Amino acid sequence: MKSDFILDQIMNSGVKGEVFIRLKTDEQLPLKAGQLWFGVYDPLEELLPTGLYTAMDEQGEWYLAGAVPAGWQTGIRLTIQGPVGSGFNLPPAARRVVCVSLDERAHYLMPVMLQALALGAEVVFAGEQNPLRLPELVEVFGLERWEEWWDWADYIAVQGSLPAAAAFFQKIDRQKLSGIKRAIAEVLIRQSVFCGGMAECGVCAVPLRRGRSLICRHGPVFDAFQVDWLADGLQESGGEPY
Amino acid sequence: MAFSAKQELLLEKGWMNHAGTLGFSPPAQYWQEKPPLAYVTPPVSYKPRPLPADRAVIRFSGGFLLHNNDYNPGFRAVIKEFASRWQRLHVPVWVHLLLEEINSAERMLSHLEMCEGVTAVEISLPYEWEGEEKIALLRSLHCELPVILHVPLNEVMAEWVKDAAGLGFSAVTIGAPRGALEIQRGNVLSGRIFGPALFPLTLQALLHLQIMGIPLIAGSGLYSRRDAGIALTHGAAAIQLDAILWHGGIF
Repeated sequence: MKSDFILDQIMNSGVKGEVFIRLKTDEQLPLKAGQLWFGVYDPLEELLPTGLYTAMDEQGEWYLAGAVPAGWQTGIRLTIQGPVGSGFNLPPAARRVVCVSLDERAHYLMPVMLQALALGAEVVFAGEQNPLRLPELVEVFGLERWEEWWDWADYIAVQGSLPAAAAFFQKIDRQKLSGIKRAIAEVLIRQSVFCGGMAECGVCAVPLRRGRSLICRHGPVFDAFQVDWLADGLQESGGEPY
Repeated sequence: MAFSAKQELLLEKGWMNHAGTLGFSPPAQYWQEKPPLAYVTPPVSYKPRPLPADRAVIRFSGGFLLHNNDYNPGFRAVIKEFASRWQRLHVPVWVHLLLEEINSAERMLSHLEMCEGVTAVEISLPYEWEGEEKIALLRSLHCELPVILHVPLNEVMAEWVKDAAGLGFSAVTIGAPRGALEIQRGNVLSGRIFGPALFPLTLQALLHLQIMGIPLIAGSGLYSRRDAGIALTHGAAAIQLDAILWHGGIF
């Protein structure tokens, strides 16, 4: 879909350089965890569309989050386009869910945590310090203790930049990734996406075990077992930091 | 004369996309309200060109630099996957070829002559080549389709461009220039430059190249309807739009 919306609220997400935005709309936008949207206010000023990811605060309120241009103020009319990709797909039968945040942006995983709790699953959060107050039922682990929850989980959702995700998965035993798949592992890869899904320029490419995929066309969530985490240059890639 | 097109190139003061801005299969948003004169494919080389590990888009005041090594899966793979889709487009297709060597260039051109839906070929040459090398390659080529020479904006004053005027090109595109930016201390990336800050240079190039007597396509720095009108009034037979298409275009 592509529509114009009034920008209703801009809030601090708790992460430097990133804000939450909320749009004034009579109808609920079809927001789902792990999907990418694009926003633009003044094409001549901004030149490139701004990537926005779906996020949720600790009260369970949906937002779009991103590093937005300085010209975005409440009351302006934004053109919003999306969503790209199908996002995280938590299986209804999942009973042991782990959400892994490779930086402080746990708000991208909050919808998965709340959905898993609503389904009656046990939920573990593993990650860096994050500004969100997690639900009481969520057990918190450090990233370095991944061996304790990797084999326990039947669904794992990870979020981070491409270099961070590459570093994380390279640390994990290769046999665990390429061997018998016990858990479903999906990863939200935050990579700069500039063309609004139109150019196929390759800047947002993610290397897969077979070929590659473009975030701008297929979305930012991947099956972690399909990504080639050992591809050359992954830990340095990405262009402008998002 | 190297090129002697059997069909005439029809340019009617309209617009199209710049090579590399709309992928290999143009999305529906491309059409805008005023239909394009053509759809231009991304640059295609004979051999696949890999993505550089440091691929990036870097902004600067007035524009941005795209560093992607003209990434493409190579001519054969592109034709295999997309040629049939191009046939079904309701718009003429111009294939943009990156020519690097005579034999592969001849093979690509002769193959495209038989591709339904492909009505013209836009060609560009390695930026780092000397003018003599460029002219030598161009002189040795033959193609029955209309051929458009794509010249980066920062090369339009080069002597070889004037020399190329007599080789039978159907048009010359004044395209996105090459540039370089420092991303970290000592680390410089180069690539194509896009952005509205380039428009005054494009207009100057239009005025300069009119003496060639070949239709000119203004393909750099066009981000508003006003600038498009100015370019068309001052010598452009058509215009090419780039990143503004990602916002829905200007028509």
